[in-house]
Amino acid sequence: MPIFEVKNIKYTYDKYENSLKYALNDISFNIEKKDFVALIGKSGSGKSTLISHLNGLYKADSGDILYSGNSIYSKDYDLNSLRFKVGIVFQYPDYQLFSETVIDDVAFGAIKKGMSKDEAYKKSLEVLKFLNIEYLKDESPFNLSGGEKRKVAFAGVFVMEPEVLIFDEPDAGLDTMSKINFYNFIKSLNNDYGTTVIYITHNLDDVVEYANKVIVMSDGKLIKMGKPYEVLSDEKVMKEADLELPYSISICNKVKSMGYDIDNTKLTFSDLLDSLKKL
Amino acid sequence: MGNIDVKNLIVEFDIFNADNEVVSKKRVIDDISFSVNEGDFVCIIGKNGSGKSTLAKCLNGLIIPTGGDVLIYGMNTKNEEQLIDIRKNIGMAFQNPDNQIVASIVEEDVAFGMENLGFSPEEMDKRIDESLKILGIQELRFAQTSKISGGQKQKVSLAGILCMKSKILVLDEPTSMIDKNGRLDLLNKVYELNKKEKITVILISHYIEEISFADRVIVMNQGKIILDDTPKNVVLKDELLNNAGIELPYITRMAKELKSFGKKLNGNEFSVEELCQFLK
Repeated sequence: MPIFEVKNIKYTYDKYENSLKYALNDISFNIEKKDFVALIGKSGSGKSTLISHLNGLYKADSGDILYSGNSIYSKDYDLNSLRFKVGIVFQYPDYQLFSETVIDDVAFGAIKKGMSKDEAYKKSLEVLKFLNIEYLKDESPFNLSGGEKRKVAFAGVFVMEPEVLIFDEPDAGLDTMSKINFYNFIKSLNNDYGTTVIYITHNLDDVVEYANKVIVMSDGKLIKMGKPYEVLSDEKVMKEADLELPYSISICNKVKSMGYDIDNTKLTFSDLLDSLKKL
Repeated sequence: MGNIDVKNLIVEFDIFNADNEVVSKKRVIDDISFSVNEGDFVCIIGKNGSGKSTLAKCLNGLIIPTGGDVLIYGMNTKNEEQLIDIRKNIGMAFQNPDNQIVASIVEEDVAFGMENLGFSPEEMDKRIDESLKILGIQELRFAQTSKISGGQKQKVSLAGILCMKSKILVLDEPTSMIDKNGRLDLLNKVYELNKKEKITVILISHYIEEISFADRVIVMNQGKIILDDTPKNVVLKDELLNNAGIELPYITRMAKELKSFGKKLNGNEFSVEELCQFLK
């Protein structure tokens, strides 16, 4: 059974106007447990709106969303518990930080989930250690740099041990080393604990490295879902979504235009390097 | 004298405890000096917490140096009477556009700075039109700022800055919420402004790919400048960059790997075209 079944959802921000421009226009897809899904599309294509539906922050105007087989829109569905299972880390960490110290902030969700105070603080400290930001524990979240804030916001979601982790552009505002550490960390959660990951990104070269599925959005519609190479090498889809090709694809295209043959289903950095070495 | 002169700049922040007492100081910028000339396009890179954003805020006097001086056209940011003149000369765009969007309709937001300086309605109208066009967001002119996306907000806040026609543009990760196409698009616009109008650009970024737009790259680590050179020379300094927590651009990494494998490349290529030269 898929962990998420999204069925024909529609959503508009202009409910009381006549224009009815849909931010989400009849979106359907399934996500399996342990998937690592990249959600791509231009600014304004509906990506952030879509993920806000997945833990019931926004309610679709029509259509349905099933989590582990149960409709989250049914009357007796416990949305509160859904939000502990599906953790979202938003684009702007400032919106999810509010406590006096970092450790208080991280422990907040764990306490709300029902952990005792001692347990929550112990767990929070472990998480901070795990993320290599233990040294920040007594600082005010508001004194931190943008990248540090992001890590703290993530820690606050992570401490609740969600089954699904959703990120809205997790690497915006992170330097490359932090970014690589972050993705490797998420990838290991995904591999070792089976955490399902859904993330919005603009960095298509990273998609090839980490994701097993890609969803492309354009103008409120889902225009393609598939394996990274299937999606990224689909020129028609990339054009319709108005997305710049990742370097890997551009390199393959250039190599081909120069009369060489190259396998464009192998797009990770190391695979592509191997292919280029053989030329 | 340059357009911007930074002399022995030191910035320290007070660290407070829960009772609001200063318990210690944190040095964020540690004695840095550099000058930027009119029309330069300088990219400042460094990892999170390296002091980039703090430096940006020093340039228009949002942060006053703990030590040393920041001079803009010879005006010292410590001089309070000159702050308004300094800010007229420097336009700033920040990471999080929500912090600088103030009005509910896009055109009102874009006009905000001009209104405060008493521009005529006709002039405002003209400049709003121009700046929205430059950024390709004319259709958003009457949109509500609460209903546009993060990337669109970034463009709107930038449009407001372009309207002011400052001689210096400081962009603090202006592209962090925009897709790659939009990012290149925006930077191309900024590049054009730099070349055509001779506007000085300071671009703060950790998309290392973006350094290829600049004439000069300043690399920061732990509050210090560790490299100050052309983009092509900077990417040759692997070890220094690695120590500073900066990864090379995708193409450059690929070029280096292929070079060490024996392919005919320099190891500082930025574009797909340059990279594929080894096939010729």
